[in-house]
Amino acid sequence: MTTIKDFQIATERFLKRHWDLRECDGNPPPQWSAVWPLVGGLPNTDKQGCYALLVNDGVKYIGSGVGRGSGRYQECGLGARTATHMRWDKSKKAGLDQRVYVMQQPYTDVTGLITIGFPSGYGYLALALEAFLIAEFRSKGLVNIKSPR
Amino acid sequence: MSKERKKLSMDEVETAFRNEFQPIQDRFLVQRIPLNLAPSDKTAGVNAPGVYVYWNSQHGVIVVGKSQANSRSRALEHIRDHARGGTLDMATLRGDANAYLLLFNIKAAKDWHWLLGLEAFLETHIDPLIRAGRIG
Repeated sequence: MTTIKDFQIATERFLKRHWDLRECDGNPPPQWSAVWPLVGGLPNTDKQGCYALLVNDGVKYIGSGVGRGSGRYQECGLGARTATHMRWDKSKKAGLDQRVYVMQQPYTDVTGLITIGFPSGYGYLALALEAFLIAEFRSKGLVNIKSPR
Repeated sequence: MSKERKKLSMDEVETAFRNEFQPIQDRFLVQRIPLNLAPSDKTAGVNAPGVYVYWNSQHGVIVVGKSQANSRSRALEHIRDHARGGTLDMATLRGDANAYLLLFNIKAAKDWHWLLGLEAFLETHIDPLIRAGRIG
């Protein structure tokens, strides 16, 4: 099983090994968010980046959201991409009227998400990170399958 | 009103790559191949995983793509398959003396994860005539 900690360590290695962060307009290196338990607002929803679907403490799937967006929602990849995996359960409410979401097939066993958002203009790094993490952890429980084309 | 598309030169495309990927640019072999020579090109490093850019003098950057197996071979499939964008049928580029393939091939398999990143960077920064349906 791949843990959140495994992902954090591998991500730090990716950023340290592959990118001179001083070149990223002085932005601090991005970090994975705390676990989002399918309630309220998704961390980094307004950014391009990567997300991981969790089953308890284990990572099941990693994806990326780097769409161009449109109009006032330029580069809002993560919110739109993760929305395809879940739906708003209008029959439930959490504290402070927060929305509650339920995962859709084939991820109904997912209990939460973590996300990592990249500064504007660096969304392409999310795709490299996603591929790097898939290569690192494919044999350790991830269900990702990437096209070899 | 739609933004007017800027037609970049091959030098400008390569400069965009080198500026953004400066810390890791040595991991890539960058090559320009005249399109009419590409089918028979046996140069070392041409048949490797990489990102390709179609360019000609009329349209500038035409399309960006990648292959995790063989960028030259994958790129030529656009011509074979009559890939289209707007009014352009890419099969008409066959024999175009002013058309080139720019290949950004990785030198080592361990760097394959950069292919997706570089493809996305070029797709969003060099304004191809034929845009990808989705990025990533």
